[in-house]
Amino acid sequence: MNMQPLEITGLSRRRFLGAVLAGAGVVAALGRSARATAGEELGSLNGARLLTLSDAHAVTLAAFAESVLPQGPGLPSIGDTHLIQRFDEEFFFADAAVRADMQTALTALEWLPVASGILHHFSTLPLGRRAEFVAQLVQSRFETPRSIANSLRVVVHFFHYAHPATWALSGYDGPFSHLGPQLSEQRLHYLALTKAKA
Amino acid sequence: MNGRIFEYNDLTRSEVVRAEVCVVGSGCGGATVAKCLAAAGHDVVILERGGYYPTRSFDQDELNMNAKLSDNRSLKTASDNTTVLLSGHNVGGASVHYWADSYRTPADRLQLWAERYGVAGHGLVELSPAWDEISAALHIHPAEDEYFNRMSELVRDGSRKLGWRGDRVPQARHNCQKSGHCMQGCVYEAKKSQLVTHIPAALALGARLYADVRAAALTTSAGRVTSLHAEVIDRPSGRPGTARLTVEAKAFVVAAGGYNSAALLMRNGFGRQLPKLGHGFGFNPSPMVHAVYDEDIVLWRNIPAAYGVDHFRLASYAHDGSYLEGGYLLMPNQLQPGLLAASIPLLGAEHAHWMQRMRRIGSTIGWIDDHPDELGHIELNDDGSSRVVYPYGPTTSAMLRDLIKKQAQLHLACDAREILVAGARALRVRGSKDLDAIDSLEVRAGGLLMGSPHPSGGCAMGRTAHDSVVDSSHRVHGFSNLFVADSSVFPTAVSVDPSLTIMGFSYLAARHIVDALR
Repeated sequence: MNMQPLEITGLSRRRFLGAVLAGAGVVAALGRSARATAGEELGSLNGARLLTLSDAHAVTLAAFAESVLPQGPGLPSIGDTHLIQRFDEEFFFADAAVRADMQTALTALEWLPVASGILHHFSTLPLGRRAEFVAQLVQSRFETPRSIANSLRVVVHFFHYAHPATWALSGYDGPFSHLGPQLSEQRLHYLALTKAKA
Repeated sequence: MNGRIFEYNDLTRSEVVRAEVCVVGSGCGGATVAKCLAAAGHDVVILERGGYYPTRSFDQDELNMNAKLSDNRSLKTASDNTTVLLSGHNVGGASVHYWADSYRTPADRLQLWAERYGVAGHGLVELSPAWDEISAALHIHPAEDEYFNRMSELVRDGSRKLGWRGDRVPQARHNCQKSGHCMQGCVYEAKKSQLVTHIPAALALGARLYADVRAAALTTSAGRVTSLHAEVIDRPSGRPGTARLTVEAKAFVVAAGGYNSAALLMRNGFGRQLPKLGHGFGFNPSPMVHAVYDEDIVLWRNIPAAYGVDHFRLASYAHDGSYLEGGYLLMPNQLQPGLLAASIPLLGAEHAHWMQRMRRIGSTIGWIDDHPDELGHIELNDDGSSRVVYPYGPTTSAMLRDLIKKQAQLHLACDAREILVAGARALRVRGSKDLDAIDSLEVRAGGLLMGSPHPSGGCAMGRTAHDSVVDSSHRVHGFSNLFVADSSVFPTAVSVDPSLTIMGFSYLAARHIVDALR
């Protein structure tokens, strides 16, 4: 029996990101990455502000979601499930450390192909190659890229398939009493700040 | 005394609140101890950092309710990045989203705590009267036949085929509507969470509850806590507002839950004189195994777990001390579509193919009884937030593999068509010939997706400040009026769902606090 214990992080995600950037020799890109990680330039989507994601993060996230969700006619898109907004909203209300980890993960993901010797950022890879790359990441023998890919996959699938737009696909018959949504103070606050639609 | 709930929009100016007892936290520990103290005639103030969401605000929507009820919206993980830390963030704490499984602490566990850790006065003799009273108040009873969904039937029938012992799971519920929304909060008030039991009972007895109030600093003098300073959280933004609350009381009870009580004391520097503070931490890692059946399972309706397998609750070891098997409870699982999708480790069309068969997906889960010699600890980040470090040592890893294998065996015994382990490698089992692959399953960061619904330890009970944080009267060593009453006082995991153990211990804590107030 393999009794190998869990590998505990020896290299933090932030330090890993630094290593990725240095190793790839992408000094010119540092400005963009640093701003994105610090959240100084928050993004927007379809006229609605984003409160956690920069435009660059939103592009990376959308590219990742496209890679792990089924594509095809009749299948709900990430627009149908408001995935980017929901992701932005949920992390806006999480602890700063949780939010920062997510931002760092997205920035690292964008540069991981470059660190792997591929002359593309993650979001500019063609869909097929992007999906192959994610499939490799989730089973990588290296802890940090594996954790980044798996953590993002879990959250994307959670938010996507919890949305009613996917229920026809899954056969879920919805909440038991069909009470209709009761928006919390935080949901209303987020919608007011971003001018997004529920 | 005026029993009522104050919320963020009632707390627009800083103020000083005076009471006999200040309880930090409103979950199974805090609500229970507050109710007992109020019943004894004491003036009690309860502080809850989360919001007050009455059952009329519940909508059974998976994401909406996760946002209202779950700390960090279930997005925070332990140091391995994939064990999701599950706890409450609302009046009533985790009991509002728990499954209502209500086991009395096994006698062997109480004996272990007494003999190895020096816990005194918390045996069956002391706890049984408290459990009797709680069981009556919360309608605790074994699940009846009508509450077996197909998954619970399969767990019962499959385990019997395999010769594994199990039983109906004791439930804290009355007039259950079988909606399957325990984890989204029970809109029917059938599940007997603290929100609809001990909280209203405490309020009726005059307790005051302040929601949206986060305990920050404890002021101490000569071995006593003199006051507690707290921030009022603006609930819409989730950020601290400008108002502050100062609570002056004769006694203070930390009942912020297993993930938070030790961290609160650590932020206040108690670790300098309590070297075990934050240590001895467990959280019942809970691996899942899914399976596709040839019949509808409809995992998301009726109660989560009507039948549980306790055959392997205690781990067994060879004469040389090496691990053989067991050390967990094995239960039916209940997942709404979002969490089910999150726990299926596949991509793209393959993932969608599983989701398209959601009605036929069955699932099991188990709670690992954290090994006492491989427990984790809590650290503080630079910003004061807490971080759970859990080692997943060799015996724990072996337990995880054994639990996953037993779940797969159970699904096979129930004629599942295809079985999938919720881990990064998407390990599939289609027959008994595939089971051995589980023996080499890597337990590693980003490898297994697990929840951790039952934190324990961090403020462990014991003999002295060298080996523990609180004594057997729940009093923090070195402080005459500071108590802890939640799962953080357990020296190890409970080996069963812990809610009734927390409540029973809190009954006993209340008696010691009453004595201290005399």
